[in-house]
Amino acid sequence: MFDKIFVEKSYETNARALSIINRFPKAKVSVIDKIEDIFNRVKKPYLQKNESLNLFLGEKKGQLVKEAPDAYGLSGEPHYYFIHAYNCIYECNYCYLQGYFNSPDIVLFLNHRDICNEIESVTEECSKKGLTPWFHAGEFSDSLALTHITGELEIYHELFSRLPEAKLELRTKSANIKALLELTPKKNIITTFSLSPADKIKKNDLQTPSLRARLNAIRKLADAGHPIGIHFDPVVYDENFKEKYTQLVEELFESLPVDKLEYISVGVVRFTKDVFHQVKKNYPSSELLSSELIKSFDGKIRYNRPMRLWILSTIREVLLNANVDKEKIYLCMEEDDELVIDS
Amino acid sequence: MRLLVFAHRAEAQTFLKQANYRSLESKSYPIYKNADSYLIISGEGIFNALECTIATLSKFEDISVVYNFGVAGALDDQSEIDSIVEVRTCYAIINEVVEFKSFTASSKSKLDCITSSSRALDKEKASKLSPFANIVDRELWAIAKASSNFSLDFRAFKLISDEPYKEESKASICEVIKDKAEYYSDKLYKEYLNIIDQPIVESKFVIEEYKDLYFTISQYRSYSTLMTQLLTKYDSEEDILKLVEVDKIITLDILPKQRTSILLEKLREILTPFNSKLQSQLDQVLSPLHEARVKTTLSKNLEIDQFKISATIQNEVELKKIARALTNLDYQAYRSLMRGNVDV
Ligand code: SF4
Repeated sequence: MFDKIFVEKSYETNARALSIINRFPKAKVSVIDKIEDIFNRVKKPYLQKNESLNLFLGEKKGQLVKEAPDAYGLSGEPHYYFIHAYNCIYECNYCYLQGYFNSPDIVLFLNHRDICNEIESVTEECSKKGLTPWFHAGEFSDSLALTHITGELEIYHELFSRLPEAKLELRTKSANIKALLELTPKKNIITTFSLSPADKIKKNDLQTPSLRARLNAIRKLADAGHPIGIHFDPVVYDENFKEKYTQLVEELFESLPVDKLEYISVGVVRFTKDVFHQVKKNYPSSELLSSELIKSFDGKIRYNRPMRLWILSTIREVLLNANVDKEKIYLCMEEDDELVIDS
Repeated sequence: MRLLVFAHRAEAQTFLKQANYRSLESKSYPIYKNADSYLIISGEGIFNALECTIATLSKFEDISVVYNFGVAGALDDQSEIDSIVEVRTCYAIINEVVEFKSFTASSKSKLDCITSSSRALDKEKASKLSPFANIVDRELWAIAKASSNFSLDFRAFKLISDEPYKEESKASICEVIKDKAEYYSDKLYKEYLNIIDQPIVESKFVIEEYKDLYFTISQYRSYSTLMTQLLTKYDSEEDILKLVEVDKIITLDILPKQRTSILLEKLREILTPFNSKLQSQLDQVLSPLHEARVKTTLSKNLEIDQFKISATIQNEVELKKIARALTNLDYQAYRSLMRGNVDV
């Protein structure tokens, strides 16, 4: 998977670093002073992630836990994300990471204890105000894709077992649940799967596990008692859109009893100008580019308002018909859209 | 026309002998031309290469692609000595500072090159460059930068002449050793012949065979754009033409150009199925206004409910007609469509 591994000098003998390095016996290992000396120093084309990918191991400096943007999670509670990795082994053609870093190389930060300390202090602050903080793992990566190698899940599991007043969301497109299944299910640790109809996964979620594999993972986790959430995001329209989502919902609830669903969020495909530019460059023949996207009021690229509202209400109807509790459905939308959908 | 850039005459010698190049007048650097290419000898180093390539590209507007041939040093074991490798992405280190900007060639290669402003390179220095690239040269980044300034593609082929990552003592990289120069140039020339032998397949649209349609230049451009976009959703042009029932369109008793307009309209409809339906439902709701010759302008990209109307009133009859049309407009139905209650 990795051509070269660069490890920071201070982690050269670190047990976790060594165990990761040992998983890739063919990769050339170099010891470096700092990740920043090499990662992001030059513009490495995004698509080279398919041909030659490097791995960096070291320490995350600066702010380790950050407040999440408004539209990030379920409304009402404070949301934060913590950063323990940059970049992802998957290649969704709409992924905003392609416009974010200057390199697709994977960076794994190993100072999880420091991250945990910061999560604890944020939780303490929130508790004082009577709030339930949500922490999202993997703002810049997939939360589960590499956990069988990176092994950090148990650290966060132990932390959130001690912090029942805080919630952890592990958001993934993987089916890599091996490490998670070894841990006791916790009410406040929610694994959320991003799903799309099978053909959309094939076309757009490149290099990711199939819908079938993700549904199997959901079934196994749910059977073991792990709380499960779902994201239908990004929703991409095509002519058989309603049928495809009806079928997806049917298949989902064959794997996950509907009453076991923690929540489901729905978001329509959208891009910042920069990411859209990257998508055009990297995937010129992607169907995303020929769909009915427009430059919206805030400069973002999305479907026009009637279309995105129609998509959201259509999926909501499909979910309600499948007996999903109304309170568990979250439609991710702009503030303006919220006003009109309720009126 | 192609532009071939060499740092040294020795690297270019076989090209000059074999490919009928004639010398063009030039005061600053050697420049040659044959039937399909220009060839320049830029001299060694980033700045020479940058100046000469830019000067040549500014002077000759008929250049469509730039090639760089030359020698390079290996920074790891990904390339063998004496082999020729094609470069994927090139980076640069100028006066010990790594340049952020990189340039990627239109190539399937997996090897990257870093262009160094410094000639001397030992094992330690090579290990500093190897995180960024597999080989090192002295000019490529500059040539690629010049090409990019002119929005031209570039390709680079490097013969591996030395292996600085193995050298314990300081060595000069990318030197064309005199007694090997002819051999290197021969090898590079053979590689060049292989590259230019590869046929370029031009794709044509099936629609060109339909003689009952006539395309103006702008219609053909629209067709090409629409078809390219539709081919991301459908398997073939034939499938798409079947879907829009082109066979029926060509039998319509109208001018060939008008048939083409209908075809384009249908293609647009299947490219934007939701918006075509939305538009026709909006047209229907707004039809009382249109029938009274009131022009409606919806908000840009339909982002807000608001719409503008304009009309010319010449007499009382027209005024009353417009007033009636406004009364008959079902505004709630319009608003509902704008809020996504579309029958799809
Ligand atoms: S799984 Fe997430 S982070 Fe990874 S490529 Fe896809 S969208 Fe990006």
